Amino acid sequence: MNVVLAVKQYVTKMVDDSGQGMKVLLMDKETTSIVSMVYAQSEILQKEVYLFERIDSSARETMKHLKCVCFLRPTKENVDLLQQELRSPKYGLYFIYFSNVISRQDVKVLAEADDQEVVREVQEFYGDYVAVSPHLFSFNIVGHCQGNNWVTPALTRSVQGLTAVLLSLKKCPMIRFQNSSEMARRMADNVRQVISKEASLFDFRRTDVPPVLLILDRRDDPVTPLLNQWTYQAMVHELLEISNNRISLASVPGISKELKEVVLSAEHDEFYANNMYANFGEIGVNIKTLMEEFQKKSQGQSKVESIQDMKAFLENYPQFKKMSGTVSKHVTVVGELSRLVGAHNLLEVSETEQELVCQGDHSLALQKIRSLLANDNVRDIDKLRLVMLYALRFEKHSNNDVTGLADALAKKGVSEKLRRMVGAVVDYAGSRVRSSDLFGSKDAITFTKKFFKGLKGVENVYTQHNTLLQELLDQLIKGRLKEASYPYVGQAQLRDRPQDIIVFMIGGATYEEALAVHNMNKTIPGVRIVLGGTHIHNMKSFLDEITHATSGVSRHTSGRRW
Amino acid sequence: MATRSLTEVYILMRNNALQNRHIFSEQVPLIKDAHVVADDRMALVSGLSTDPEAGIGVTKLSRLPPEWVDTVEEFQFDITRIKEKMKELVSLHNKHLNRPTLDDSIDEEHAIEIQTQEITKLFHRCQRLVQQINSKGHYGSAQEQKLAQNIVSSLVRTLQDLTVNFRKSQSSYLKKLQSREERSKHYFETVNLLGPDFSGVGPENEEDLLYDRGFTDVQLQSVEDNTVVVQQREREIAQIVRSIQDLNEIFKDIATLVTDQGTILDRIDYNIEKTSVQVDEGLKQLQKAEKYQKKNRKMLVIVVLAVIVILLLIILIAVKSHH
Repeated sequence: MNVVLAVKQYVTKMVDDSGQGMKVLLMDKETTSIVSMVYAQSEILQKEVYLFERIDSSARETMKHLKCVCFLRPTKENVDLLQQELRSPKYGLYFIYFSNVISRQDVKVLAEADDQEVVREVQEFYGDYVAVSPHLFSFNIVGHCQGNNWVTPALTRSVQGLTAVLLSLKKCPMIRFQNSSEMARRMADNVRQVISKEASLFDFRRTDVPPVLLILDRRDDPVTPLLNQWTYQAMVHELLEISNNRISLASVPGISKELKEVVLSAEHDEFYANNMYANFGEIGVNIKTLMEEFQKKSQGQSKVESIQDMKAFLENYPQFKKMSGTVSKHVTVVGELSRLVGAHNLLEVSETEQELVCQGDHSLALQKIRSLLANDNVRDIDKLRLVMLYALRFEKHSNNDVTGLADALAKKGVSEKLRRMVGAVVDYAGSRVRSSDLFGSKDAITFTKKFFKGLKGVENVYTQHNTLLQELLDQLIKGRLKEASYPYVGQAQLRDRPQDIIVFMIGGATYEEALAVHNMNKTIPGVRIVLGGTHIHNMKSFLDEITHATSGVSRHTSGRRW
Repeated sequence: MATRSLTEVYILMRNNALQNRHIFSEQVPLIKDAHVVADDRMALVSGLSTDPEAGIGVTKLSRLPPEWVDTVEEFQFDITRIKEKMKELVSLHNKHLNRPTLDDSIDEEHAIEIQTQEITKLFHRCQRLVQQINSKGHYGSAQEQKLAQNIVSSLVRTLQDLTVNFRKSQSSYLKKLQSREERSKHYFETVNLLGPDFSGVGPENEEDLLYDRGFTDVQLQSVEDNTVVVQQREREIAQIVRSIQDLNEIFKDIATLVTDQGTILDRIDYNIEKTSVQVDEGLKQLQKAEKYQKKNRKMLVIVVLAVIVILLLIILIAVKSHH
């Protein structure tokens, strides 16, 4: 159950299968991202793949001495482009790999275009998703829905991607979905249909306990993407934005040219792999040790006097160079993070957020939010964050003062576009839409649990919040997940404790949830969980998502004006 | 990791398509039976264009692979040879170290020396080949340059890994040799007479001998024996150090060519984006240039017209004033 490895194996296999000789890898926009996430260029160069091209690039030249490995999504445009390519082939031989199921009709179209018989191999390799971490995948779709309904291309893409995940992991699961969400139901049905249509593909060796696919809707937990984060990966995404493991540092003041854009990939960066889930304080300490180690090494490097020193230096030079790159990268990133934390009072903001969500003392929260709204150092987006969380948390509270806070936002010059989000988030995922008990106020058990937790005191005020996902997975593993709220597709039911779980979050997952899943994988023996989503959200992309979802839909809450 | 192969289906479909085309092209003349002469010519022309061989022939002529392709193959062959030789060398080293014979077999040392030299030579050759590819790669179209660049960085990496390996094995051999030396020192205490510094064996040695005249003949004899041994070892070590130094030079040369692993430059998508941006920029530059040119032309016309107008005015004035 490692999605990075699965995709990497596909790429390795297609490159190896084409045999010796110089190769060009021909991809489309999406497969470029897919391949880039698992293979570094220097790594794949060692496999004699010397050229990388996009199929829609017009500037390609004829090079008959190259073999062409095509890795493409089976879309209409790609088939058209490939057909043109085969009519006048630019490369010597073609090995075609589609990332998903392709129709026989399309294969025929290609076969008819191939007069010169240059195609050697046509296969389906189901690496049709972006593998972010071993247990996390994404399709990079923003704007998956309008109102309460799927946008059709997004649904098709999601179903294709999810079935590809199942195929690449060799799982034929039982499907459960969130009953309150029409979108989850539709998606579950579609996945079921694909599985029964391609029954021969999904005919894997039966395991004792069948795997479970759980399909959830982001609307049930709109809080997680709105919170500030304090673990390395999540924090970088929230403050600097990670896209396909790449981070743009162009906005950092006084940045050097080679650090304008950096890569944070656990596959190729040991320090990051060890620290991506560490919290901000720990990273500070770890980066200090890294720095010290580096200094020791560089001092050792500086005195090159004897032949012996020279030898030692040259032997260690590549590692040294790599290490110096890693150090400067992480120091820059962490430096920028701590600058932002200091400049924008993020500690205070985050503490208020956490208390707001986890404790819910109305008057205290309101008071704190008001004082933060008055603070000029706090960023607009953080002010908005607080008001949105307040609006969600105290939606039904009798003294709720969302109007007053919205006015305060306006007074502070927060743009109209952002202010509209307060109402939009309640439309998108207010208590009317949610089915689960997000803030733990209805259920007696959770209430007492919370009470005891309060007695024990909290370890870290900035990371009190636990995701709803974690709770659901906990229930699922213990076999307590209610069937009425999360029914099965079809008749079969799981009797035993599930072992392999694939969770898909319609509307996007977050790195906080990825961390929760990572911890569960580590601590619960015998359970392996993979998390996926239409996107990996931070606050900004989540706002885009909400804007998209609520645009063009008449407001249910007419007469409410914030 | 499930996969599904459609190759058989594809080939079946392709064969069917080819057959259909043949049947179709044979049927065409039958339909237009009346114009036999015209049809003959048509069939010839169309036959030429659908003939796959013709197409390939033309493209092959126009597009020969760049000449450095052979160099790449040569390089790869050399690399396999280096690998073999290194294996042999390691086994020789082990033999030499683990079975120290009293007679200090010169043959073995000689073999090691030769092997080391050959490997170093091969490394040099490989480096030369890479540089050839590198310099030849600057010619040709943009994509060929890109290809050459990628190949060079990949070959350099292979070469670098190998040199590092080789150097490690050499220095570990050296270390073992030296430690054996130290051990032997314990047995032949007199070696201490040569002083802590080994490097000045020659002249210092004589001085020492002069100084220590009071030794018995037996002692002198043993010192002389040891001197010979030490000198021989010294030569051996110097040889290995030299081979390491040679490699260092190669290393320095190629270090500049290595791409930075783990940085953004090592991302496939980044590099693709970069080239497409470059192409876009090129297009923009061209458009700009075109615009400038057009503007220039307009300017020229305006100037010419203005000059004509002024000339005519002067002529007019001249003509009027003459009246």
